[in-house]
Parts: sequence; structure tokens; C-alpha cells
Amino acid sequence: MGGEVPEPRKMSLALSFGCGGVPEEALHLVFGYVDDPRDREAASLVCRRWHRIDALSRKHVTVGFCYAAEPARLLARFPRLESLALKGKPRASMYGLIPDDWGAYAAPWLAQLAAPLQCLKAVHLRRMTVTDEDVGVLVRARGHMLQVLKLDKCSDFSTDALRLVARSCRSLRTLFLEECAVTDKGSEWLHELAVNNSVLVTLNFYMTDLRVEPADLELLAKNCKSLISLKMSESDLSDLIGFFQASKSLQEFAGGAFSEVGECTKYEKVKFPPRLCLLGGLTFMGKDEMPFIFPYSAILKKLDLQYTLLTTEDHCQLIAKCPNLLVLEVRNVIGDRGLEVVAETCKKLRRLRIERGADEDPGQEEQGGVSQLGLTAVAVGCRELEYIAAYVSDITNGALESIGTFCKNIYDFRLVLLDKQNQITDLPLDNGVRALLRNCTKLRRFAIYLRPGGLSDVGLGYIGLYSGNIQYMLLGNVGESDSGLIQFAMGCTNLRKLELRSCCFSERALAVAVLQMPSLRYIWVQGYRASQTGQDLLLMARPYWNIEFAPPSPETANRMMADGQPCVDTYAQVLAYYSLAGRRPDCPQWLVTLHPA
Amino acid sequence: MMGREVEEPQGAAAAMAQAGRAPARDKSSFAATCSLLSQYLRDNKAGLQGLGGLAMAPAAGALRPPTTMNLLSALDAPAQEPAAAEGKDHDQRVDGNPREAAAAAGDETRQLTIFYAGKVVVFDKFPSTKVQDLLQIANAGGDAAEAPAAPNSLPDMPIARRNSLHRFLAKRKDRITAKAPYQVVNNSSVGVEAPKQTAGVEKPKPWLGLGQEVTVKQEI
Repeated sequence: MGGEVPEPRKMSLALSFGCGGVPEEALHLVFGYVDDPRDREAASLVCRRWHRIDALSRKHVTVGFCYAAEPARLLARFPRLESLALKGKPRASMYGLIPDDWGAYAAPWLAQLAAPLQCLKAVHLRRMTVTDEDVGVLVRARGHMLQVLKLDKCSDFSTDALRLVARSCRSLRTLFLEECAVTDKGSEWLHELAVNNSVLVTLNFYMTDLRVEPADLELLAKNCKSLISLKMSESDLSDLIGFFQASKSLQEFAGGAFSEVGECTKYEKVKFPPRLCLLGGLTFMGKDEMPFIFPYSAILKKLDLQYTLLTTEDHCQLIAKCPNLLVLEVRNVIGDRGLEVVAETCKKLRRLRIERGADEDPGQEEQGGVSQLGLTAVAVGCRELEYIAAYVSDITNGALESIGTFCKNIYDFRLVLLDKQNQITDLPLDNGVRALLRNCTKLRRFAIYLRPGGLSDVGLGYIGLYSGNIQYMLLGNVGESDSGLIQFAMGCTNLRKLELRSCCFSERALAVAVLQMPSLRYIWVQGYRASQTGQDLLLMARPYWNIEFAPPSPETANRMMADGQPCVDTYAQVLAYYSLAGRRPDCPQWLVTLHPA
Repeated sequence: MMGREVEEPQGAAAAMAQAGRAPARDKSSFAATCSLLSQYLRDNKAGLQGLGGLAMAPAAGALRPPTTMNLLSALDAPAQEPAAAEGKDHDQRVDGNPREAAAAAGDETRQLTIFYAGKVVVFDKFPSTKVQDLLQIANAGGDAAEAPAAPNSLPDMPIARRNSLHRFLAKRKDRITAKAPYQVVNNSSVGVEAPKQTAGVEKPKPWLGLGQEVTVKQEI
């Protein structure tokens, strides 16, 4: 979650020469040095000539939402694209909140673009539905030159597609399949990749259920001397001894598991390659296995302990040995004590993610749980932090103020207050939120998910008032009334993407709020005072603004899934966005598109 | 217990506090408070049945401060002095100042804290006899709220969990139930716990079993 912090924009002053006298070649040369999409966008608006030169020289485009534009339009404007990124389903799909048949089909994009975009060598599809046929279209047209293929949390394809990629794309540097739902028809794809490719740098099939042969990985390491990163599906570490011996350049690894309990001797022969400094997975690593990574801890820059079985105490012991961490990802079992060790040890830390553990596991999680104490310690101790995402059990205004005071580089801040603990020390968080927003001037993404009473209407107004630079926001369980939402909206001049969940706002207020935010191009809402028909949402109807309403499903209203979670379509959802493509043609039956009569 | 909080000016509790203090002294501010309160009530129509029994003044016309609400005056003892010269509406009250009434009846009084819609209201000396009444009212309100979901009601939705974490926790759970050797590995700690419990007051068997289970989980 959350991208890297972008480089600062290089063009701080607008180019001041006019449109007339500069030779075409000179402009082309200058444009060659302009990479930042925001600079590109600004330059393209100067005049027709600049627009044309930008269009012909643009190498990369990210389409933030696949229903916001049409492939034909993209092709007409940027015929020489080398790299294309497309995003599909709402973020909520990563939390099991979007039904599988929602859409976001890659088919029209790949069918219309793969052949005519003759310079295309990098494709990144995120949260999209991709079939074997779609991959086939891409590979047949561009396979010979494809260098990067990222299928990021995509679904609906099988290992047949991967075999085709492995056979045909011999220039492939990056193959990325993280968290894809792939139908596994055997591990031949990896064998073919190992045999046919000698230039692979990054291979990622982390968080998939793909089964592979360790021998194929070893072969891959031998053939691809430049392999720097491997993130793989869960696989016992003792099977990877040969792979690690062969991959001398490897810097990043994730996916290894300690599947045998109490068999430490089994892992004694596992030796990581010398340059390995980014480490994750380590599934089921417990106290007894932990010493296995001690020899590497001092050079580690990234450590992901989310899937381990470590206790609070184990976290303290391990992290105290990792002074060079830039990225740390854990579950809340780390506890305040663990975070105090982080604050003392990890002075260079840039990104910290504290995920949510199990609710019904008092044995382990109770000793953990993160509160204002841990967050404050980290804020004071880790001044370089750019990204914090934390699920906390308790929180105070003071802790948020500390982050505002000490973490001046925060670019992305996300806080969820868990709902298990009855008493929270200090609510509402109005003043803390205000202090954080006022002081963290680099903040571009902000998420705060509380509980009723966690943030008053006044606090919501503060977010509007002090969030001038924020482009993405997620708010959950905040505010007290519609007027809070309207106050918030009136301040959000630069907000481009908004997600709201479990708030008390009426449908009418949502519509009115949308009209107040001039930069808003995408809003997703679940949990509001929904009507059966979504009629009040029509208040926000306007040209190019698509409104899609998913009424709650009557069949699943009172049904729970096996794990006690409500069904995916229990609650009404609204998605509204700007689109040059008109209404989407592939709506599932249960989705209603709203438009004025 | 939370510290006493000064309410947001628009909050119902603030309106209650002011209304209870000195209704006759400053008519204009009282009227303003009442209109704020009535606005609050309008905004919160759906959720207020529960506390409706507290009989918060619904509109500017109804000047008679209801019994329960009047307890707020106990919060602020000095304010009682000027309030002694109250308007007739105030005099019509049947119960008089409950704080005095409670004192006269020799009732036990304790601090009462109400969390409601994100607001916190603290009553310093609340007669225990009134607590039952309050609970009854609250219970009745709760039942009403559970009636079939009316349109426009706000669903109570759990915080969603990331797919990757969800899968891991499910796997871990399977592993705990599947891996019998665990209990052998952690034999020592279970062994220490179990005799302690049996040595103490005789515990019923199921309790013992539960204790062991928790210990096992802790070790993982």
C-alpha cells in the first residue's frame, strides 16, 4: 500500500521562452529531460506545439482508473509510449470488499494497444481482470521486446499465460505477479523461464499459491546472473539452499517459510547470499528460528515480519540488532515495547507499517497492541520517517502532535483505531489531527479510520482546512453530521481521490460535498445513510461524471461468511469518477449506473 | 474513566448543561441553546430514541427542565446560587433539585458517565436509585434501534482486513489446530501452569482445558 515518495519536481520555475522562436529540435531536446508527469502535464497545456511535442515524446503514462479513459484516445495522443500502467478495481478489493465480477477487464486495453504501440516495452496492470487470452495478445504483439510485465493483484489467468511469457519474452527483466489469483496448472512456466531467459532482474510471485520446483529456481539463478530480487510463494527455506548458493547478486528475498516447527537444525545450512539486505516472508518464523537471521541483521535495510510468529519480546530482541533498517513491516504484536526499540535502534527508518493481528487470539496479541506510547516513541526517535501506516488499540491527540512536531518528512500517513478496546484515552482527535496536518507539510496521502466520536465535525473541518496538498484521503468513522462533511469538502482544493467508509453522512450530503471539491476525480463510499435507490446521489450528476451505485444485496443482508465477516455485498457502495469514456459497457448486473433522465 | 470533557459548543450535552444551569437569567442565550439542541435532535432523529427518555427539551417553548436532565445542576454547585431566583417554570418542578432530594433521602450517590454519540457527559453525584430508571430507558431505546433496518440507517460495519493478512491468520489458525507436536514442544510451560491451577482452588475441568489452550497459543 502506498507508493514511493516521488522525486522532487525538477522544474521549479516554468520555462520562460515563448512558443514562437524556439526551433522544434531544441524543444524536443528539452522535453527529453522532463520526466515528471506533473511537469509534462503543465508543459502540454502551454500551446498546441508544446502539446504535440509532449504527446510525441511522452514515454510513460499511468491511467489511474481504467474506466476514466478509452484506449483509443490514449493511443491517438501518445503513439510512442514505452511504458503503460493501468489501475482497475477500487482499493477496497484488497480488503475483500469488492465482488469478483466487478470488472476492470484488461482485454480492451491490450487488444487495442499492444500492436499499435510499437515502442511499448513495459506494462503494469493493477487490480485488473486479465485472462490468458489477454496475455497472449500482448505477448504476440510485443513479446519480443517486452522488458517489464507487472500483473499486480490481478486475477483470472493461469500458468498457461506464464508459460507463454517465459517462452516468448526473452528480454524480460521484470516479471511481477504479487498477490495474483492464478490458476496453477503446473510449474513448467518457471522451468521455461529459467531455460529461456538470461536477463531477468526481478521475479515476484509473492502471495500467490503457485507451487514451484526448487531445482528450477536454482537453474534460474545460474542462468540469470543479474537476478537481484526474488519474492516467491510460500516455500520451505531448507529447499532453497541451492538457490541461495547460486544467486550471488540477490539483494531482496521474500517468501521463505519455516514450515517445520522445532526443527532448527534443518535450517542451519541455509545461507543467504552476501548482498541480501531486503528480507520478508519468513512465514511462521518463531523464537527458535529467529537466530537464523541474526548474522544478516546488521546489513538489513528492509524487514517484513508480518507473517512470523514472533512475540513482542522476540521483536524487541531482533530489531535491536537491525540499526540500518529503512523499511519495517510488522503486525501489532510488536507492541509499544517493540516500537520503543525501533525508536532507539532504527534511526534511518523511512517506512513503518504496523498491521493488524488476529482479534480472537488473546494469547499472542494481547501482550502486543500499539498505542500512543509506541507511536510517540517512534515519532521522536525516527525523524526520517516518510510513511507510517498503523493499526492502533489506543491513541491520543498528543501522539498525533508528536508526529507533526518531529516527522517533517511524512508523505503518507495512515491510522486505524481498532474497535476491540472499549475505552480510548483521548477522543475526539480534532486537535491532534490538526497539529499533524499543519506541521507535516509534505503529506500527500492521508488516511484516518476511527470510531464514532473519534473525530468531531470540527475536526473534520480541520482536515479540510489544513489538507491543502493532500491528493488521496481515506476517512472511516469520522464526523458527526452532514455539516461536518460539507465543511471538510469546502477546504479540500487539491484532493483528487477520496474514500469514505462507515460514516454517518446522508446521500444528499455526499453529493453536495463532491460538488465542493474542484480537483476530485474519484470517490468511493461504503457505509453511509444510503437510500434504496441512490436517488439523492443524482445531485452530483454533471457532464463526464459517472456514478455507479451498488445497492446492498437483500440475500446477504444478515448472512455472515464462515469467518464471521459480513458478505462482500452486504452494504451499499457508491463509486463516482470523471471519465472521458462515457458509461462503462461491462457493468455487472448488480451495479446500477445513475444518470439524469 | 475519561477525564471530564468540555463539550463542543454544538453538542447536546453542552446544551443540556446550559439549559440546566440558569434558564431564567439569560433568555437569549437559552433560546439559542435550545435551537442548537433542537437542531441536534433533528440531525440525530434516528438514534435518539434511546436517550429520548432523558427528556431533553425538544424546542425553545418547553422551558421545563426535566428531572433527569436537571441533575446537571449538581455538576456546578456555585451556579445554584444565582439560579435560586428562578422563573416560575422552574418552580413547577415536582421533584425539586434531585441532588438535595437525594441527600434528603440519604441515597448513595456516585459518579455517572455517559458516552453517547461520541460525547462524554459526567454527572458527579448521581443517586443510585435513578440508575435503574436510566438503564430501563436505555434498554428500551436499544430494542427500538434493533428493529429491521430502516432505509437511511447507518450500518455498523467491521473494520476490513487486508487479504494477505487474512490468509496468513487463517493459515496460522489451521496450523495451531493441526500441529499436535506443539503441545509436546511446549510441554514445560503447560506443565508448570497446570499443576498450579489444580493445586489452587478446585477448578472445574473445562476451565483447566481452556487455560492450557491459551498457554499453547502464547508460545506460538
